[in-house]
Amino acid sequence: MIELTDVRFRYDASASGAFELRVDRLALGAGSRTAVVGPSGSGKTTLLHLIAGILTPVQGRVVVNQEELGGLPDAQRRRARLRSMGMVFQDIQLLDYLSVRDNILLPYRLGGGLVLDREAKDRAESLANRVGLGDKLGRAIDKLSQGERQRVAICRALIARPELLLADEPTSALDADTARATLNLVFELAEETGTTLVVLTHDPSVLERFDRVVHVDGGGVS
Amino acid sequence: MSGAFYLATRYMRRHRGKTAVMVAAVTLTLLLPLAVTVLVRAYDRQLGERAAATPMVVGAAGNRYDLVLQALYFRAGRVGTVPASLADDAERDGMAVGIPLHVRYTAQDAPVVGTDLAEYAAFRGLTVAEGDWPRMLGQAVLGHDAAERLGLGPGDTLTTDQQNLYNLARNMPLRLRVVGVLAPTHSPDDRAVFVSLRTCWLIGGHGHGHAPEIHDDEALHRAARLAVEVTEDNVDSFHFHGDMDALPLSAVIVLPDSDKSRTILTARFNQATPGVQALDPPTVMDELMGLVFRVKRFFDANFALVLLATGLLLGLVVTLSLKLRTAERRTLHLLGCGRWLIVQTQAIELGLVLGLSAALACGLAGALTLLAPRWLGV
Repeated sequence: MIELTDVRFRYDASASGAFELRVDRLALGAGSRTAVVGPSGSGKTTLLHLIAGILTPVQGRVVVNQEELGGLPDAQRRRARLRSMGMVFQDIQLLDYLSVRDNILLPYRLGGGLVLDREAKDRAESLANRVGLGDKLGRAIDKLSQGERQRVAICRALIARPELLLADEPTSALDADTARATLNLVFELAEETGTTLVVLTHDPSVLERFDRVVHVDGGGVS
Repeated sequence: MSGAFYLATRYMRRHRGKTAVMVAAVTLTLLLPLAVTVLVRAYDRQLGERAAATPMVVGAAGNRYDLVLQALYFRAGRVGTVPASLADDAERDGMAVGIPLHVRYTAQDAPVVGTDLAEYAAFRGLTVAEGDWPRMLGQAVLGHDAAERLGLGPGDTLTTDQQNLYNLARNMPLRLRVVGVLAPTHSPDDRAVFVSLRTCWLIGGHGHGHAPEIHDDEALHRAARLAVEVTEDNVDSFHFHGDMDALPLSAVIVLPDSDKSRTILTARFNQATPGVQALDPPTVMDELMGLVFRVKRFFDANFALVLLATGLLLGLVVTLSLKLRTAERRTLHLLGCGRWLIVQTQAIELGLVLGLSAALACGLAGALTLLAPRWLGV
C-alpha cells in the first residue's frame, strides 16, 4: 500500500537551518492503522506530505497504491491525492464561505475527475448523519463549534471513499473529550470503509489503538 | 458550473457586503465619465437640433449667448428688449417672416412665451392635443410637460408669478385661462406657457382694464385681490396706451426666404440698426458647446485620475484579500486543487466585480440617455 525506500528530503532554507528527513525503508499495509509520533520539528508533517505527494523526495522512492509518486507530474499527483487520499489537518481549514454540506463536497469541486452526482450528495448526507451533523448541513461554518468543524473536516476527507486517510494531529486543537470522540470517529469510519490510516499525534495515550507506531526524530524515521 | 466559478460565486455571495461595496465603487468610477459624456452629448444634440432649425435670431445688442438661449430655449437671462416694430422690419421687402417673441415672465416657474401664436406654431410644428388655441386676451395654451407638471388642462386657470412683492404700485399677476394643451415635441416648447403678445404685454403692465363701478365695501375687497383676470365680461375694458410698435420684444425669430435674403438682413440688422444684433443660432451654440467641451476635457482628465486611483485601491483591496486568504489557498492546494484553478477562482471574482460594475455603469448610463432630455430640460 505505502512503501518508502531510501527516501531523502531536504529543506535547504529552513528557518532553523538545513533539515533532512531520511527514511531508509517504511512499508505500511492496506487497511493498517499507523501513528506517527515525534517532537515538533522532527519531520512528521514532512513525512505525511511525502506520502501525500505534496512534496517529492530528492532521492528514493515513495510508492502509494503501486504508483511511484515521485515519477508523476504535479497534476497527476494532485489527481491521485483527490481521488485516493483524504486529508485532515491540525488547524481544520474549512472554507468559511461554504456551508457544512458544501465543505464536505469540496473535493468534487476541485477537479481530479471526481463527479458530483446524486450518490456523492447522498453520501455527504449519510456521513454528516454519521458524525451527528445531519441537521446542520446547510449551516455556515462559523456557526459550528471546534469539535463540529473537525467532524466536517473528517467527512470531507472521507467523502470520495479514499483508500488512504492522512491526519495531521487532528485532535490537537480540541479539548480532551472532543479529541477522544473525534479520534473514535476517525477509527470507526476508517474501519467501516477499510481505509488505511496514518495519524500524526503527540498524545501517547492513544498509541495503543494503532497497529503500528512510527517514530520520527531529528529527521530519522524508525 | 466549473469549480472555479462555483467557489468564486460562493465567496462573493457569502461576502456580499464587501462585494457590493467594491461593485459600487467601481460602478461609480465608471459611471461618472460615462454620465458626463452622455449628458454633454444629449445637451449638444438637443441644443444643436433646435439651433439648426432656427435660421436667425434678432434682438438687443449684448450677450449673444443669453439672447440665443432665451429666444430658443426660454432660459432666463439679462436680455434687453427691442421694439415690436422690429418684427415688421424683418418682413419689410418680403425677404423673410419675422416671428416676435417676448420671454420675460413666468407662471409657477414655467416660462411664459408671448408670440404670434399662429406663426410660431407653424414654424415649430406645434399642434394642440387637447382644447384649442387662445382666441382672447388672457388665454394660454400649455406645453405638454408644463401641463403635466402643473396638473392643468383646458378650463383651468394659471396665475403668473409675482414680479415684485414689495412694490405697492406693482403690476398685478394675471390669472391666465388655460384653453389648450400642446402635443409633446420633446423640445423646450413642452415646458412653456404660450400666450399672445398682447397678453404678455398685459402681464408686464403695458395694458390694463377698468373695473365696472363698484360699491365702497367691494372696493377694498377688489383692491386686495391677488391677480387680475380677463373675462368675457371685462375683456373690452382692457387696452394699451401709447404706440403699440414701441412695446417690447425680447427677440424676433427671422426666417429668410433665401441665403441672399439672410445675408442682406444680417447686414441690415448688424450694421444699419443701432442697438440690435442678428445672430446665427448654430454658430452661437457651436461656440457655447466648444466651451462646454473644453471644460469636459478637464473633467475627462480628472476622471482618468479617479479611475487610476480606484484601480490602485482595488488592487490594494485584492492584494489584501489574497493575503487574508492564504490559508484558504493552502487548504485547496493540500487537498489536491491545482494552482491554475486557484488563480482562476480569484480572477473570476475580480472579473465578476469588474463585469458587474461595467454592466451596471452601462445600464445606468443607458437609462441616463433616456432620461437626459427630460432632466436637461433644454
